Amino acid sequence: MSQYLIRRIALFVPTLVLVSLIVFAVMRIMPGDPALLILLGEGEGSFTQKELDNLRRKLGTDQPLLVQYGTWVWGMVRGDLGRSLWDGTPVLDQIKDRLPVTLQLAAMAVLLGFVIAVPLGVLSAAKQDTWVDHLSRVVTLFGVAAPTFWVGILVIVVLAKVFHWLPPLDFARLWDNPWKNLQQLIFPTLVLGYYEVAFLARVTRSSTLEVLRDDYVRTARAKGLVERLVLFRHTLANSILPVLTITGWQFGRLMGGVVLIEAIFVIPGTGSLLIDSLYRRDFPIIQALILLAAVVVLLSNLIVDLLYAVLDPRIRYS
Amino acid sequence: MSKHVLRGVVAVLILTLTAVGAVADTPTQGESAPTLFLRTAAATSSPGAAPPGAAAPSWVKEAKRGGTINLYHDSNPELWDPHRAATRHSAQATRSLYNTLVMYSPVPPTDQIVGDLAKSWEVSADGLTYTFYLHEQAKWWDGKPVTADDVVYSLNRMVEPGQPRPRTGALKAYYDSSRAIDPTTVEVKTKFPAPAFLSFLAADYMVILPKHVLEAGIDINVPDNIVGSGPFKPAGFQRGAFYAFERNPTYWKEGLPLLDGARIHIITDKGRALTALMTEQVLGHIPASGSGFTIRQAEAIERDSRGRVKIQRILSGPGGIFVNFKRKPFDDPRVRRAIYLAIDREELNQAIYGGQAGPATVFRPGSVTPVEEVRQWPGHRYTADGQKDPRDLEEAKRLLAEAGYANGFEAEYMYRNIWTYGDEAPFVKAQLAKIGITLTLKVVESAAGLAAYAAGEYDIGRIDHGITIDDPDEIFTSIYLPGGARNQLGYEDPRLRDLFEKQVREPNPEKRRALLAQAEDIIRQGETHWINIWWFPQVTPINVKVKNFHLGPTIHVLNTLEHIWFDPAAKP
Repeated sequence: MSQYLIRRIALFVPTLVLVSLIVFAVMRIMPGDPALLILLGEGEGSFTQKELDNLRRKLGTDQPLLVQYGTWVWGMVRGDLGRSLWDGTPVLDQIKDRLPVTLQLAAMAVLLGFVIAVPLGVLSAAKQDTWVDHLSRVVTLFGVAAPTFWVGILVIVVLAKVFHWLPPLDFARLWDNPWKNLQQLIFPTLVLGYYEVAFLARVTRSSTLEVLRDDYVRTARAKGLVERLVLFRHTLANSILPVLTITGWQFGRLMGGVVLIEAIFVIPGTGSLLIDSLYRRDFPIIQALILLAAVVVLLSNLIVDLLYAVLDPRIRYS
Repeated sequence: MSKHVLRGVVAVLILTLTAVGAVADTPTQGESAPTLFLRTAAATSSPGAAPPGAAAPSWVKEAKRGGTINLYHDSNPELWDPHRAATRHSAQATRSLYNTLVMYSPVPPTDQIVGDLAKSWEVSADGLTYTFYLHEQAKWWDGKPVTADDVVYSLNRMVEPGQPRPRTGALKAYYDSSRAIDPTTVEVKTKFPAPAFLSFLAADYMVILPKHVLEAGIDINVPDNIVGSGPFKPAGFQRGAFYAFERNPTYWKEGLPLLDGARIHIITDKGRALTALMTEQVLGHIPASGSGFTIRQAEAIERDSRGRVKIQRILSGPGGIFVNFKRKPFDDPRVRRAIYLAIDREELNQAIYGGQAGPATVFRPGSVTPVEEVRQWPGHRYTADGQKDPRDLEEAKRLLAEAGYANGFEAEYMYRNIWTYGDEAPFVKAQLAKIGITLTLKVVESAAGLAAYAAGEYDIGRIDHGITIDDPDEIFTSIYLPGGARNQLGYEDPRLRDLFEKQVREPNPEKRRALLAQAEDIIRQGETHWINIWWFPQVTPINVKVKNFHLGPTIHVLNTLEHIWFDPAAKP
């Protein structure tokens, strides 16, 4: 197991190198020069070519691409993610502030999704083609089809119009003020979680339906086991594996996919930092955030793979 | 009837200019001065309040004190060093932390220039030397006095060669040198007698910074390092979430500030901002404008809030379509004029702003040419039933034919995915199709668009220009002279250069206006790279509980919170 773990972690390296190369290249290919944007502002600032050149030199964006890439990678190896091109603050400080917020939001959404989706999906499969199944399918289909940002706006409007209440604007961290933190995160969690519920419930349903048709389930029923045991002991243990895979993937997706929800609910997470940095072409922050998202995806997939072995005794890593 | 109206307008204008001339020609010293380029008769009247100084003005005595208000802003302040800043986002965040030498009046008429750090000033008879007398009480937060040395240091820093000074660099055209005569007296020399110099000094970017802090190598771009002289101190900043101010308890202006503090939330989503306004989670968009709401959205907010949220609006600057005059066929002035004539400005104005944009004049509407007269200009005229004058379209087609494009041509219209540009594009496409120009619409991400414009990688572009100060110099230097923010490809007309050089030095407003009218006559022929379509309006929503809030003449001035107070009991 430990050898497997080491091998998997070692495999992170080429993946991350590839991601770093891609994100670095895309940032440089994408139109938009940070020095130009700093001087232009919203297009109204004026400057001379000399000032532009000086600023490029100061930011290091006039260096050959290989030098820029090498400097960035060497910095990361030493634990230095660089500094914002705009205000000079260390990227690590900015991410340290934001990452826990997004991690908490993503974890809450995935947890909510998992806790509701699995029983719902199993129930829907067990009651196939009954009103329970139809209702579940309508609700989950809507959840998958409705864009998350649209549901978010709808929630905000309903809260404001009907309840004359909105989540507080001042963000409080979980460990500083748990009650306020909950007030702020509960609705974005529900919005994100709704999609997770819908998506995972549909995967659980189809996976369960497939397992329900297996011989060993028929055998379990034939020997007189009660349906609850058939479903939750024999079926779920086998149908949960694809659900777990999807959950791990969803968690990684959420890390980069909460941009709009963070904007709508005014949550200072990595999503809003990413979008703000993209508008400003703040390369060091963008590169660090995308690399971080890649690490989260790799880690969540690794955790899922390890969970396989826990849930399915037939799976052994060596 | 129209003749009477025209005579009335002309009479008001003459009275205005006479009054301004009197003001401009005679006083060589004062505590306040009207901006030399005035747009209304009202602006020549005496200011409604004494200039903010050590002695409290009358409105301070009437104000309520205390309270912390929640406001919002639509973007993060990118930089906290005001001299390096290029955007209103930074200016709005830093303006309450520092003082300028002079400022725009916080109470109407807001286009009046009054003292901030300067309690008074004198201008030499030749108009080349300004002597500013500073408030003796002015001090930095660390207790050190604000001195003439700080002013000299800051003015030199604003124009520091080779350093990024996207806004303060505007002073380079005028500023020659400065010296401290004594600790509270500064002498500033300009390169020539410049009517616009004081206006530029009053812009929010031109703040006076502490020499002793900067010389110690402290980076004032970090909020925690800031040592200001202003009414508020930073009380927290979290990028993407908020920045906050708390009152400076030792502020040197008697009775100010009126608020205990303010918290400015960063809300980028317009829907969220709207709901926050409606539920009074926030009381307004931090002064000044640029809330991002269109006029229609703003009017809906005012209506739905039942008067709790009021809208203030200004004409923010000229909006234009600009052509790449270095590419064919736009290198031909006849083609540029054809486009100028074919644009249906009224249709655009009605469709986008419900008719509330200003007419497409070169300088602020009504300031040089009466609006009625503008409506007779080719390209701006309409028939009695409101249709675009067919003579303009016929002339546009004739010009294209003469230029060798009788069957029209194809071109790309590139616009950024912000503001109203996307809503306008189909109208522009349809309007130019009437003279045979087939546009391909290309929408680009904002930063990519700015880069493409700067590099000249476009056929036709579109941008609104929010002026920094309300003076024709700004229009010339930004749009019609090479190197301007809206003229990055370097369009130049020697006649305009000559008129600019003359008017920039002309202290007599009437003579200056005559020079500007000549420039306007050249520009309205439509042969430059920039085709004015309107003066675009911007709106700011503000709750009635926020008192003494008045928009300045541009969105880049008067963003200090020092004069604002909070009345929680105020009703619509």
